[in-house]
Amino acid sequence: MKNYIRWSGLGIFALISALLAAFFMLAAGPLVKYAIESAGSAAAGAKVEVDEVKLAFDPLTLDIRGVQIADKDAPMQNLMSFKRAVANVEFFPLLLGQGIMDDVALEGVAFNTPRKTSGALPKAPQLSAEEKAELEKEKAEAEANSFKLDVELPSADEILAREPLATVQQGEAFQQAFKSHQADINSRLAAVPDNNALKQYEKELKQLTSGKFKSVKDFEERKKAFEALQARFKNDQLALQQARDAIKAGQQELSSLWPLLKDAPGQDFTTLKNKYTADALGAGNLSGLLFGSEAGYWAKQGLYYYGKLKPLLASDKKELAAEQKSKRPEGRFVVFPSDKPQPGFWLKNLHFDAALAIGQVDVRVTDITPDQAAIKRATVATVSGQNLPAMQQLVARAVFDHRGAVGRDDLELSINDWRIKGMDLGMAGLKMQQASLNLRSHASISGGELNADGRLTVQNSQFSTKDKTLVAKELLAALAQVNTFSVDGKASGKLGAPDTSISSDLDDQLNNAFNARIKQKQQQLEQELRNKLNDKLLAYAGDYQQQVKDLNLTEGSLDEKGKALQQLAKSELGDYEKQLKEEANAKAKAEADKKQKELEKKAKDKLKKLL
Amino acid sequence: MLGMLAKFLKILNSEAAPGQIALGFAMALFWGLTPFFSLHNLFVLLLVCILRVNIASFFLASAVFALLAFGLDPVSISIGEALLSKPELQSLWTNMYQSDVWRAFKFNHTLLLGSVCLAVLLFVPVFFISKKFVLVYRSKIMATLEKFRITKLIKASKFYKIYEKLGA
Repeated sequence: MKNYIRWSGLGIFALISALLAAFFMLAAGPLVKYAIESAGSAAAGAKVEVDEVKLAFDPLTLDIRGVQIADKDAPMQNLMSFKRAVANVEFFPLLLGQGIMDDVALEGVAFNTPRKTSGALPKAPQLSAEEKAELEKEKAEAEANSFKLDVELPSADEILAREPLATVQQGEAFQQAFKSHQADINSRLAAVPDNNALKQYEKELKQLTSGKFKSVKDFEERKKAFEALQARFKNDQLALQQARDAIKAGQQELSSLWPLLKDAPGQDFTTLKNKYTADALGAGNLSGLLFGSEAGYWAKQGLYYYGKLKPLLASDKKELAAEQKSKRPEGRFVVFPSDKPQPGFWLKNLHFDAALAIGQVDVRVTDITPDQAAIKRATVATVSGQNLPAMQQLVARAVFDHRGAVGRDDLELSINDWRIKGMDLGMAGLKMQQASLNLRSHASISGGELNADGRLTVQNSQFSTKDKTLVAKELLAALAQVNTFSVDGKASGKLGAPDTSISSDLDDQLNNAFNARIKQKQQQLEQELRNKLNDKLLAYAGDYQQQVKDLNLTEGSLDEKGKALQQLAKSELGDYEKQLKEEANAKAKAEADKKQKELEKKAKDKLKKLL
Repeated sequence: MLGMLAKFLKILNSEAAPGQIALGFAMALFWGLTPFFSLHNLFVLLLVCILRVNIASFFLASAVFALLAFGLDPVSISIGEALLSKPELQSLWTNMYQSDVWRAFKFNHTLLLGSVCLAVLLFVPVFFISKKFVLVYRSKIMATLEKFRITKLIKASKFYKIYEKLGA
């Protein structure tokens, strides 16, 4: 036995164990501090800083001081901070690397406090172009799906930009037809003789037809030239006819298109009016307008804090499976049925008082663990406040249940006698000067789908408005008659972009006033639309009438040219034989007249002698 | 790397009993193949301290087996998965799971259970093979190597200086 046992080794082992224990005692605090900072930063996406961690024994207690959790979206601000947390840690599970704490009490909890240094984590390594593109795509999708509850009328320009318009289609067709006819007419007109050419014709014709033929040769030369001139007249008349036909065809087509273009703005206006009258307001009811922006604000706030909290909550089994797939196999813990579940981390009870804008509230959270399946319990958070400055009672209870394959988070919020003052409403400069609100709401999120509903009962309400408009005055007068009303809100669908609706019994009471407001806004929009559509019409056919007038003038001048050419074409060249005959006749007549005159003279002389 | 080889040769050439060296190699299987921060490794260390195990061979082999563990981890995990999901063993595991002591040993972790089982399976073969190797080395290989001209060249090399530094 002596050959196998080395008793001195026992001392060495004791020494090593003592050294390990001493190291544990000295290094445990910094190690826990490092663990909280690194794991917390990874979960929060921003710096988590701890001033000091002290370890005490009997019982094993962790004393954590000066914790600041930075807001990743606003690095110069803390999402949450607390001065001190004292946690009772179970010793035996700690040997297994399991942090199981029975009770943790936080002191000096504060939210949204300013930081001295930036809480942003060091920048990640440079992304590749593909990764950047993917990131941009995700960002754009997130923005597209971002929660929107804004209720606004679209402007006339927005409507005209997003809708296909008949005015545009007809205008383009008209312009295209006009251009093609104009090119055809211009080419035809180029072949028609101008006024100078007509004068030249007249001159040439006069030369040919005036004066006597000097000889037979002269006559033949003139005849030949006259025939050539007549052939040119015929060609010019043909060109003239073709130009007339082109102008007529253009006039016919443009005349048939013009009424369509003229009517298009009217058609567009009717279509747009029908489309944008019913759903221009989105929520489509008064309560949506009045309380929509306020409900949207609170919904945004709720989703913002849910988004911050989600990475710290237990993950769905599906998410965990997907995460594990991408890592190098490290093995896993197989859980067996047990009355003593021990997950890797389990904070059984967390308690703190928080100073919020509404006052001091008491926060209790039970069973915080990333492995709810092991403890078979969901994480439950309760926020409660009594006799707060602005409300009689506030109770919020959230259950984060991620034991199954698909997790489910439920939130119930109840507020009694919330005395509000000076709450801005969504229209006509309205302000709820004072009222007492009671709220009951419930929301559940499962598989990325949100289902929420709530009822707000408003009592002893008093309203005011800074607007001097008729609508504002009418609304205020109607609201003065209302003492109690309730507003019901619903949201369902994808967490980032749920379908929302807000309804209220206030609608009936204020329906008339609201309709007047809608009509006024609608009339403004209609007038604006009319003007814009007319502008579009003018842009396409503004100088149409002048252009048609020009065409008519061109046609008129062609008619005159045609008549002149016709007149010129009627001119005839005289006959040479006829001219010789006429000359012979004239000569014979002249000789006969001469002889007659001589005979008359002789007769006169004889008569004188006789007398 | 040279240093590690020199240490290995130093151990082989030392006057330590072949059984002690072989036991060091075999026990190093637990430190090398299984997750280091586990409770059973504390007991392995206790055994190494109180049994006449060659401590140098234990630490050296632990480093070597830790390198091998990178390749053997998937095998260990599948062994652990198979054992922990075996229907016949469910009642055993469930009973052990009720005990804080057993849980402290992380017996329900697939990699840990699988690698411990692998180490147990390899313990006896590694012990006997390494013991045989030490004996054969000392009786035949060491004497033969001394005769080779290359050994003389090595003795004049940087490697031998490291070996010398280690006090061989």
